[in-house]
Amino acid sequence: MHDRALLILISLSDGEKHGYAMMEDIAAFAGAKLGPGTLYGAITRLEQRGWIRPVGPAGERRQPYAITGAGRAWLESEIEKLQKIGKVAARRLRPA
Amino acid sequence: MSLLKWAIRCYPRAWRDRYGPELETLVEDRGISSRDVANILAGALRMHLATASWGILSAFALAGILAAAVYAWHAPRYYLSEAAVRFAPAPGAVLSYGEQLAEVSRVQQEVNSRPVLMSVLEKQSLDLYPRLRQEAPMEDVLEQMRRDVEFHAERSGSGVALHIRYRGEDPARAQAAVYELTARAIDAHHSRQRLAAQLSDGILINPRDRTLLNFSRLTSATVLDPPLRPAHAAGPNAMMILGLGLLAGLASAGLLWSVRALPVAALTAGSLLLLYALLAYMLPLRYERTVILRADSPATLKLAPPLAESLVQVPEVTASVETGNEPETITIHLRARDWRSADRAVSLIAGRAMDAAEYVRRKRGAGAITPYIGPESHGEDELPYLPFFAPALWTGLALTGCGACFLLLRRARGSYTFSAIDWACKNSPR
Repeated sequence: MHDRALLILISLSDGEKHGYAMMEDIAAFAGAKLGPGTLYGAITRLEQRGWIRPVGPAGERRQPYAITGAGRAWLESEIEKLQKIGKVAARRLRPA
Repeated sequence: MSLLKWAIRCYPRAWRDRYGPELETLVEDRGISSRDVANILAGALRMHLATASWGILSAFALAGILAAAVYAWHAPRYYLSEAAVRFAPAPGAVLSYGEQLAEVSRVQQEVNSRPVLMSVLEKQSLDLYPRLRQEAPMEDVLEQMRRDVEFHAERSGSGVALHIRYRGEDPARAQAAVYELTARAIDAHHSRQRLAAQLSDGILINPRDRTLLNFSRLTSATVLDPPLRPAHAAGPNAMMILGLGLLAGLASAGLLWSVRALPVAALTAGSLLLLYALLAYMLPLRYERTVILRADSPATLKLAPPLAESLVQVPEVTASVETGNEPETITIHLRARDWRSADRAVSLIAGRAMDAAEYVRRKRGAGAITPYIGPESHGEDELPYLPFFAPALWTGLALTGCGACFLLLRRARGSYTFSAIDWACKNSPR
């Protein structure tokens, strides 16, 4: 769930997207193919947590979603952690 | 309905109403593969688990356990006491295992006969079946005792051990009853030994009976294990009943959870059970046992047919009586739906045959009828036997009735629907 949430939030961080657009975007920037059931399971939970919200009219078949302030804050904290981890990993991998 | 729509219908209704069209459009846009269908089904399962009301599940499980606990508390406890008598060749005697088994079988039949069991029942110090004796005729009490007494013979060293087991509602009575039955078994053996000793004085007897009696003369009986007073009830198994209650509770919750249309499910389950009951009723009888009554002469046997026919009045068992090629024999073929019934019938008939023998002896002053029990065999048909006819019939009728009532109610109210999933999804925390 953690990884999928991260991927979806990263995908939405540059603008609203509907499900299919998210799948395509995630496949493009992360090389990860999310199944439709997996994607909508993650969307359900992110919406329940208040990290994303639907932006189109109710009942829209291609409903676009947008990241909320809470979602953006969580994403920034996660990215910060990942950057720290990445720096440590890069330093340790550097030949002595 | 397309595969996609069917897969999406597996989601909880509330979720489907909110996200179903989006998911459907997404899959239509990118094209569906079998992998996607599997992914959607897995997602539906995860969503069911995520929206499941664990409180409801726990309540059902608790209700099942409580119902089972009440049943276990009220179900009558029973105690088992057992003794073993060892029959072995007397010093210097040579007897095959089969010959020893024949002697043990005769002793068992004598102990299980009506006069012996009646005398045990009437022994005031034992006070067996006090309630049943007040409510039912002695014949019923006797039949109950025959059901509660078990005999089991097995090889024990160079001899045969006859295990006598009694199942009673009181530990002291169970022990006393087994003690009495064990004494009667030893008595029966000694009586046969005395009779065998008298044979040498020139008494005329059927050669087969002479041979059988000779086995008793060459066998000695000793009590291998005396009956003990059972410290704990042998049943009902409270843990098993509680476990079944828990499973039944969880199954009920699962049924309520997974089934959207309860009336349709009840009708389907009821119809399947009725079909099962119909099959169980229509399938032919399966188990066969044979009891052969041998008389010492054709004249004695003339008294036997009406007795033999009275012997086969056993519930759940059909029987046919035929006179064999040998003029002194009557063969009773028993056919039953299950081996327990067939075995019980054999036990009853063996006991009643001893009664018949006693009757003939008293009526004619001499003569004897001896029962021989054939081995268990399957019926002519190889079709499988289906048990639980009656429970399946009644449960099927009840479920079908409930389903029909629900449907009628729904039709009467027009908009009436019942869906546990809708209710749970609406009430589950977001």
